[in-house]
Amino acid sequence: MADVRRLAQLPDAAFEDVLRELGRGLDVPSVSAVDPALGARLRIEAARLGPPSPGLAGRLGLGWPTPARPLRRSLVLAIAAILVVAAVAGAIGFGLPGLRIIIGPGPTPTPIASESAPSSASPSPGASPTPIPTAGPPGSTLGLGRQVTLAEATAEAPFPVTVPTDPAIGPADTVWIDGVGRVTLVWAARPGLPSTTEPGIGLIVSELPGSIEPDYFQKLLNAGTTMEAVDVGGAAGYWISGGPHEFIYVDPSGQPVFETRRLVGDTLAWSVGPITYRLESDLGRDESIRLAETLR
Amino acid sequence: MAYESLVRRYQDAAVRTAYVIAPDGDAEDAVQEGFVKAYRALGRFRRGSPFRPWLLRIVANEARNRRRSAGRRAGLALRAAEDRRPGDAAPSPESAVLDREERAWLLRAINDLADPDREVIAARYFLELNEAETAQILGVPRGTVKSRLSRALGRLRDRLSATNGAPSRG
Repeated sequence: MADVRRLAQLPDAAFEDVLRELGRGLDVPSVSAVDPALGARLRIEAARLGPPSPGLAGRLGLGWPTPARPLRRSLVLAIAAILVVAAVAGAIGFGLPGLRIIIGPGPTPTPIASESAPSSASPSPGASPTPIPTAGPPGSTLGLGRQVTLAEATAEAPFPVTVPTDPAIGPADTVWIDGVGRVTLVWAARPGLPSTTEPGIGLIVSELPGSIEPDYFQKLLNAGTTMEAVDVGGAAGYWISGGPHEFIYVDPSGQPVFETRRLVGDTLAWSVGPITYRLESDLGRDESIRLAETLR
Repeated sequence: MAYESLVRRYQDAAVRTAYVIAPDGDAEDAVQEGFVKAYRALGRFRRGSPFRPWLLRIVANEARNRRRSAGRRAGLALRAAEDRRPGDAAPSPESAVLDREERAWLLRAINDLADPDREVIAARYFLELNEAETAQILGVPRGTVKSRLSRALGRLRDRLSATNGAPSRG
């Protein structure tokens, strides 16, 4: 018989190794049973928290999960799910390459500075809000990655970078590329290019490689935000307006990042082949589409 | 929906967390409720902070509530999976490798610890979280994790030292 008392005599590091090994050998239940009923509940939550978006249902492939567990609650949920099936349509993602858009509960669009208020669900009481830098080139506070020249972005991006060719807009003031190859062009606000929800910023054009996995770049829309399917030079797109929304994307290490030094205002998103584009401005829908169609 | 991709990404960790906090039957329910509550609370998520420990704290709270509300003996009742090395010789005294009997003893000793001791050991070694993540998930200051862990390990060693007789082979 093993002498378990030897364990008590192990040096700290070895004792800790023993505990880790014990943990790896635990009989943890399989997770496969968790998902189906949960999926239904989340859809119901999404329906409750975010308003339905009329007219979208027909465009959605609504794969409704069947609760698999023989629990009474699952049954109740399944019935509830049927009842809300129409309302929930807006909660289902529909996407462009590299970009999924959902109607969700939406973050409270509070300024960063007010986020130090403690909350029971915000378990970082010691952390302080990130200060917002006020100086620097346009876009430098937006977490867009590294500032580069357009030529560098063109050389580094895993897809052909395009730019608006409208002479009234001119070349971007700054160009950025991040670790996943997302390229962002930024124009400062000026007459004819009014400020977006980002003070001092008049236009932001983001280009995402479609090789990003479908869930890579996600978007939560606030309740009150509307989406409209539009045509951008023959390409399918969406005009997202009426309320600030935020992005979730997954960083290269697999961690989802709530990209939110800011909330984003009116946005036109569209895709051409494997590339998804996002144009943020305060120009309105038609002018945004017109400008988008000048990208070459 | 996009949130479901987060669910898929983290459900393993969530189930494991709920299980080590409340392994006696409600872990799955705690995970479900935790994910739903996290979804509702997304607006309060502190931007730029890691999502995983934030989510796991909510799940851990749900698991803990179930344990308390059920009024159960706070025994972990953790079980070891099938021994992966049947027929191993007894480990040498300095070995960090456990044989089957030792595993059963050690689990029993951990199961007998008080809730806070078990939780901090489970977070650090069964979930393999670092000190900061452990603090976040258990909702205590980092310094508390350090001191609580040190005391918990001491008590665990004490129990092992006081052991005599054979563990059940179940």
